[in-house]
Amino acid sequence: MKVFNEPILELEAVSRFIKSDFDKPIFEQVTISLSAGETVALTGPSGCGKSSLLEVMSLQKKPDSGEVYLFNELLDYKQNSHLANLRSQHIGMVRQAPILFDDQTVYQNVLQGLRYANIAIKDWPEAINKSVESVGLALLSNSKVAGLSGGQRQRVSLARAIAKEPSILICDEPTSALDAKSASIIKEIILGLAENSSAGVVIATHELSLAAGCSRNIPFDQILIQE
Amino acid sequence: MSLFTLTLSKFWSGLRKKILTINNRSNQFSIEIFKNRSVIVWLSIFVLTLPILVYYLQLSIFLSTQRGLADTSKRPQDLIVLVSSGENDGSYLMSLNEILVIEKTIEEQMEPKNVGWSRSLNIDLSNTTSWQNDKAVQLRQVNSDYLEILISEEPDQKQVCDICIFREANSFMLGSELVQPRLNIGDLSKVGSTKLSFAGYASDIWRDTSLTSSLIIGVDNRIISFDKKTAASWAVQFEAVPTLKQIEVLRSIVNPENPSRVSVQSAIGFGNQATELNKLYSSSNNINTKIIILASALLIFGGQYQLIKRLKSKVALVRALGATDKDLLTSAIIHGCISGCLAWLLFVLVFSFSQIFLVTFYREMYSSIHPVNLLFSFIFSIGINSAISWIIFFKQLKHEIADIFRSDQDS
Repeated sequence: MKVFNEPILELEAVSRFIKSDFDKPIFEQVTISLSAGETVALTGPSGCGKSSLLEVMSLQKKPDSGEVYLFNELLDYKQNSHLANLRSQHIGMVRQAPILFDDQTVYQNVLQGLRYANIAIKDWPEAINKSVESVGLALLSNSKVAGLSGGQRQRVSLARAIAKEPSILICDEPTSALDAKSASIIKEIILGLAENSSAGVVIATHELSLAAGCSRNIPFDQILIQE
Repeated sequence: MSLFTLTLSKFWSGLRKKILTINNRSNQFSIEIFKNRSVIVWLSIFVLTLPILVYYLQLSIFLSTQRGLADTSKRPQDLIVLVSSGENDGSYLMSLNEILVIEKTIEEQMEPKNVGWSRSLNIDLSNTTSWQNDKAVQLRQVNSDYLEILISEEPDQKQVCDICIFREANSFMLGSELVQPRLNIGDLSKVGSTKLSFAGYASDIWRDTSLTSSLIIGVDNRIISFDKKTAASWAVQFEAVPTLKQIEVLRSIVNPENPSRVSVQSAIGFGNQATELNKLYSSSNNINTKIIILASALLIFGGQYQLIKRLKSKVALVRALGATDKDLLTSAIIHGCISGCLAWLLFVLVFSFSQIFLVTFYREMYSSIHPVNLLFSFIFSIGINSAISWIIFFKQLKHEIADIFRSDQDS
């Protein structure tokens, strides 16, 4: 059994409120940490704030209060360029509805994930091919993503997220919009990746089988109690 | 030397790498923007619709100008001619003094911009000679457009054209032989001397017949008295088209007993358009220019806004993938330059086509675009597009990535 003792991402007493109503919290005083190689499942009913928490974890949103540490470094949200660099180097994200460049091929879409990462241009082809292969889309590498199915698009999104070998992979309900077969493929890929790499993975999901495969399952309403 | 070469080579290699990285990070995204199919479809529709709209507006302006010109031409213009009737029936002929008095009255009462007079003489100026101070004064009308006054000591002496009068459009002009074209009307004492002079009318609106009538050549080859009664006409130029009331006053001044017998005509000739027409021309031209500018502005603002709106989530995605503010703002400028070129190209196409059309059919109203203006508009288009693009991108950067994704999801 894996031992996780090296936190890479830590949230301390983080809160977010509804913009128009600052008394109404989306979540409040959340403290959670993610270690390298750990797979954390966030479960809970729709609208409980899972996605909002993932936005903070993926550095796409500044929390209204609380502190976020990445590799023990307290994040300063005023330093936009530094945040962008952290996103490009360490964070990979898969969303429920993947946003892709529809007129580009699978290969080109995955390439977008490397463009801003600190990877030499000469190493791009290898990294792209590896990630495309790992999601089972090697044969469709030169196909335009506009013609792909929902499951395949999600796999492209996943390949893009993992191509740069991020320290943290954040998946926001990656299987909920897919049919059972596609969901199963995506689930296998994510859990397989988590197993074979040192990346910390956070998955917000309703799917019990996916949550069960994770090393830690945190029902969202128990975050405060558990941490 | 080798150390210098090595340093230079290292510097160049580093610079090249940097340029390649910047290009790679920025250009790609800009190009990707235009690869987006929906954007291209949208742009195509816009590109096709806008010229049609501009043409429609221009055509409307063109047609309304034409109608306006037709309407204006029907009315007496700001330059009118009053003709005292009576040349044929002899009932309303007047002497030069009377003509001058009427002219003065018009000047005082109506305060026109300009006024001139003329006497109508049905005389043949084909070739008349008279003697004045022992000098032969020969008037020779070579043709209907050219009148010469030849002065010589002897009739057989080689004659020099001292006063050459030629017709230019509706007016007679003085020839270049005279440095100071002045001649007192009716003052024949100076005819034959080198100190010939004309009245100020020579350079005024009534240049033609005032000169010939002042000489008053009789059909019997004698210079007749300038007091001989003739039919007369006055040219009156107003600042604007005179009202009916003003016309009636004018008629009363010329013929108080029977004003209705005074005919009023427009005196619009080639190259001598009324102020009213000129105003119409220039306003039409102005409206046309404004339409072009408005259309271009619409194209630039609308195009940029719609494009960025559609690409909002893509921009947010690129940010989520790690693009820095600098990367995006560089992309914005590149994007602005590309759309500036496209907008300018379209602008030139629309403008050129409409200009060809308008310059061909309305030479006096429209002129071709000067190459310097084209170059200026090119630079301006790129500049303004880049600035707008930069501002839009900059505004986007003020929003957090997650908020953009959410708003895009909601919409």
